[in-house]
Amino acid sequence: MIEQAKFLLSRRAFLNATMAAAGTMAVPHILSGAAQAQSVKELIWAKPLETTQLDPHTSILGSSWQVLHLVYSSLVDVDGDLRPIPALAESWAEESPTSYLFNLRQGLKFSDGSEVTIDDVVGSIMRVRDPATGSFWQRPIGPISKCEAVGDRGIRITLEHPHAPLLPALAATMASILPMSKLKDGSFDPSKAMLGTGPFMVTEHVQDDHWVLERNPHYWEEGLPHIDRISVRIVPNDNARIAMLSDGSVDIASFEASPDAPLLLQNVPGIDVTVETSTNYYMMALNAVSETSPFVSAPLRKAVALSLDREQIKNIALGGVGDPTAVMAPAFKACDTSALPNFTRDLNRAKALVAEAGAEGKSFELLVRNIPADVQMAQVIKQGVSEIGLDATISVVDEGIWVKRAWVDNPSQFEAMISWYAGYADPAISTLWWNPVLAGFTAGHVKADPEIDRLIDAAYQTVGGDRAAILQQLCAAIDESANMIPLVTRQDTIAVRTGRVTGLTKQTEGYVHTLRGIEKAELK
Amino acid sequence: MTETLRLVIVRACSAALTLFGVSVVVFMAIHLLPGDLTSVLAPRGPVELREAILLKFGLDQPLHVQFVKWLGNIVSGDFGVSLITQEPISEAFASRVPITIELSALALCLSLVVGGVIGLWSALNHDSPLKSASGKLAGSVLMSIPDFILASAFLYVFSRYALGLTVGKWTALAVDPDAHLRAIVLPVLTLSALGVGLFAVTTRTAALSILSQDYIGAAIARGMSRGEILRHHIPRNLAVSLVTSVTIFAGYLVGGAVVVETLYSIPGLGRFLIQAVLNRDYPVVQAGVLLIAASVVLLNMAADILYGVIDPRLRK
Amino acid sequence: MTDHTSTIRKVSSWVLYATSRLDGLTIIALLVLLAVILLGAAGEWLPLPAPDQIAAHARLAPPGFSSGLFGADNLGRDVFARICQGIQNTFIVSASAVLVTAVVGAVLGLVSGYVGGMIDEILSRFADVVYSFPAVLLGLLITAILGPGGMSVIFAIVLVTMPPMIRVVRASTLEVAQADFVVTARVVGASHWRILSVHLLPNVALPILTQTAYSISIGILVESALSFLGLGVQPPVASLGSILREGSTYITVAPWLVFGPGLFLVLAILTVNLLGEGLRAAVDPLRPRILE
Repeated sequence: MIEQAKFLLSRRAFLNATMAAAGTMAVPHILSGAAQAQSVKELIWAKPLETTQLDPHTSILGSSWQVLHLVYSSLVDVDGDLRPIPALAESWAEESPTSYLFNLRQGLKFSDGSEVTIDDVVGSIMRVRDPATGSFWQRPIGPISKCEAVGDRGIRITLEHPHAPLLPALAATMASILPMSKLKDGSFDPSKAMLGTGPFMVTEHVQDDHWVLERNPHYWEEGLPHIDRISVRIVPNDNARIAMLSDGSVDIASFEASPDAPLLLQNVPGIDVTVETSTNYYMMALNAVSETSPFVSAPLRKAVALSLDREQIKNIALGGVGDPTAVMAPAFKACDTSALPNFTRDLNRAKALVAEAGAEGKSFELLVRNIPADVQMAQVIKQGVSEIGLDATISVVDEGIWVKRAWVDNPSQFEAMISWYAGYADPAISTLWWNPVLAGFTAGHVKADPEIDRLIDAAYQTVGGDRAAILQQLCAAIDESANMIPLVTRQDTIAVRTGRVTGLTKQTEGYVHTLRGIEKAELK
Repeated sequence: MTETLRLVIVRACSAALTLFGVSVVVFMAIHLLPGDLTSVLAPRGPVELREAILLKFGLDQPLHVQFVKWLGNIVSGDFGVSLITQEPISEAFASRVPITIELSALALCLSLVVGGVIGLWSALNHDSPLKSASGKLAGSVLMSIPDFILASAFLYVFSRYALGLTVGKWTALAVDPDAHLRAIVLPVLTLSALGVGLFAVTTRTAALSILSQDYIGAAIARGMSRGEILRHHIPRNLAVSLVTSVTIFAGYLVGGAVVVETLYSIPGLGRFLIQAVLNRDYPVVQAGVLLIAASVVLLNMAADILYGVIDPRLRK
Repeated sequence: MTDHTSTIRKVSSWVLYATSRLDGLTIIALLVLLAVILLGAAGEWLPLPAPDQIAAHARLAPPGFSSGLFGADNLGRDVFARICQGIQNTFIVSASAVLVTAVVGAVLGLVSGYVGGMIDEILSRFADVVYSFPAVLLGLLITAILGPGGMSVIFAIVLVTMPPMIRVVRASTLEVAQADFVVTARVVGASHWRILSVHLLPNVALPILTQTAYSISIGILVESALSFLGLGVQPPVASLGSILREGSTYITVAPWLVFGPGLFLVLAILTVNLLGEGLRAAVDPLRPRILE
């Protein structure tokens, strides 16, 4: 019955309710540059992809996180060097390697004005941990055995064993604090609406066209955000976004998986272009599980890994943007790629391995999404493997089929596939996907490897000390398995009209928070 | 009068039958699509969650039961709920369909006027081979430029040089009429190219064949001026071929809107639909395809009735 | 047997006759079309880099001595070589689809017009239903169901071009079936097969030919539109639409990626259209004279 009621409550109805509560008016807010009201400081942001997964705890899409980041916040955040900084928690203490005490800020409120209770925080953390939620963040957030209130504003997280990435994991969108009391009584459904403690709140949304985010009057940092309104326009076509930038109708445009964005932007006057450093990385997965896949053969997987020319992938397919990377991006300085067994191109060894596998002339299907960067990488990879006598047949499919064949079906319905992973703020977090049992969604194509599993556990559980050595070993073991093969870091391009926005944070990004620091930014 | 009424009834019945066939095809097509609801709503969710979803959307029931239920809802105006936004689809359509209609209507008017003028001009100048052939060639060229090439060319020119028109910056009429006008010109021009060519060619051909008829010769012999002939004979006789061309062009417009709205980032039905296909938002795809196919069926019905009204000999 | 030889002779003489009546514009169109097709067929033997050879030139190199007539694309491939391959694939896909349409559509149209009754009703209704889906939408649905690729596109083109083919053939058949010689043949007890193949087919051959020309131009359009949306031939194989798709992103910095293939695509569609139009004009005056 409650399920039914939740379902009936449309997002629009919800928005009206929250707007009324916040005392704002429901008027169409998309204004042209010229007609922009003087008093309202409005930032217009054109982005290529729509936000489709609204529940922060289960959202797997970086394109959705971009907007979720503006509406939700977590206990902690990370700074420009990926170090944890206070957010909803003003401070924390590590009482023991398995116990952390967080102190919540005073007077925290959701954007509808209701108070953030300890129960909301505890409930949110436990919701991520609850298997019924189906969050892929259930493991990375840590082996939390207990999350309890301590006094009015204290929250103690007790771990089964030490968990090195706890703080960076808590800084993710997937650890957002939700209004759990409203969620439980059915008046809030996070898959249809957004209600958080972040700097902005949603007041209008037309699917595949635009979002309007208004300043959250109850934001916890006094006097922030400076910007009154962010209009997000969904504009899939790169050139259309560039045209809008150059005629001044948008202030910021972001470019995802558009390798040549800097090139396309280079002759546009009056804009500043930033290619953000990132821990996210493209990878090619080989199916080592499905019986019909040629890549159940470890020598053949290694041969493919050795045929990869990451410099060429970077220079030809990705327009020279990004860095060749192993599973831990160069920004972490955790993995020395020169010491990895299969990282450097070696055609002679690769050919010998192909012969060993008896796979000369073998052809396989390379599954990619209908995205320029992925399709271009696939073609460079195809040329690379042809040099060791393998033939890759590229299949370009749209998102839905790709998700099903790559991530839903078990065993996965592909032989080779190109995708990308977020790198987050800790070198160990994304290595968990190499443990098919714990990660779950990779079980259809990743072969369990006890040594990798052991090293992942060690990397997650070791705080300080030997961690550096363990990370290097883990990096090497993952490289040796040649099952999911990291290629080049995935870097997004952001173009801003010169002088229009000041104070945006330039930093290494691992959570796809494209407008990081927007609450402190000012419009000129 | 009763003749006309009978014609309308016959055509309406035939259209209803076609509509039913269309709805069966749409329903079956959606159910043949790989990847079901659960992979949209809970791509990495546990089994229990997926089963709950199947139950919630009635997907555990036999196909024919689902079909009857779906058709019943459609007939009563309930298009269902989008999987992505979970909002009623009819609401989403309500804001998008008018945009597509506006684009199509403007393109139709523009094409009719410009294409008709070119066609008549080239037909009336059939004694000058150069003028006549250039009219024909212009029509054929316009008909042969795919909309996406034209859109790319416009994007190139108008994003390179500031010429006053905007690309990709859609503004609603109610918000800012001036910006709306500047945003809509290029998409309408893109959609119109085919129509201008089509109407130029059909007008020319029809006018030429009429001009060669004896009674026109007689009219010329009687000393009627070109203008008089144009007023008295041609319009009535053009009507049949124009109705045909309008139907063909309108059929193109609903499909062309998909490409043009995507390239120009216009929040109309076409772009919504292609996005829904990519998102695997089945209820939206189902409803949108049905809506478009139904409008084509109705257009054809209207055309059939018009034929009968214009020229009673065409009644079967 | 002799009946069928004479059928073929009759049809080919009419085709020759129609060809001899083509006007100047149509003949120019025919020559240009042949030149385009020749380029596609001969592309493999031209001294060009392989169409899928990455980094054959510098990325996005403009047309020039070292980078070929149409420059290099975003992966450094030779655009001229890709255009040749693109012409080849675009024509192969659309022509093979239209061949299916012409054969199947002719049979269905003949049967529908000649037999009439329930079969006619069902076939006409089928044509109506399929005709209600705009071409791009139909292609979108089919590629979503069957997965992208050449076969899906062929299937989409067949479905798009089939209803008009059935209608045209059916209408012509209805017209001819009322002619005296057909009625006579029926009265003297000729078999249905004989009537269909000896009396009806030669008389609907020219409408089929004209409609085939239009169908090819529609086929090229559908193929390129679907490839432009990324649903056609799979990379690195090129079709004119897929080259345009890859190039359109770079239109502001490397317009040659769009204008080269765009020119050939427009030329292909234009010449096929003009040829169809010319054929129709050449055939039309003959229509009242039904062949004996």
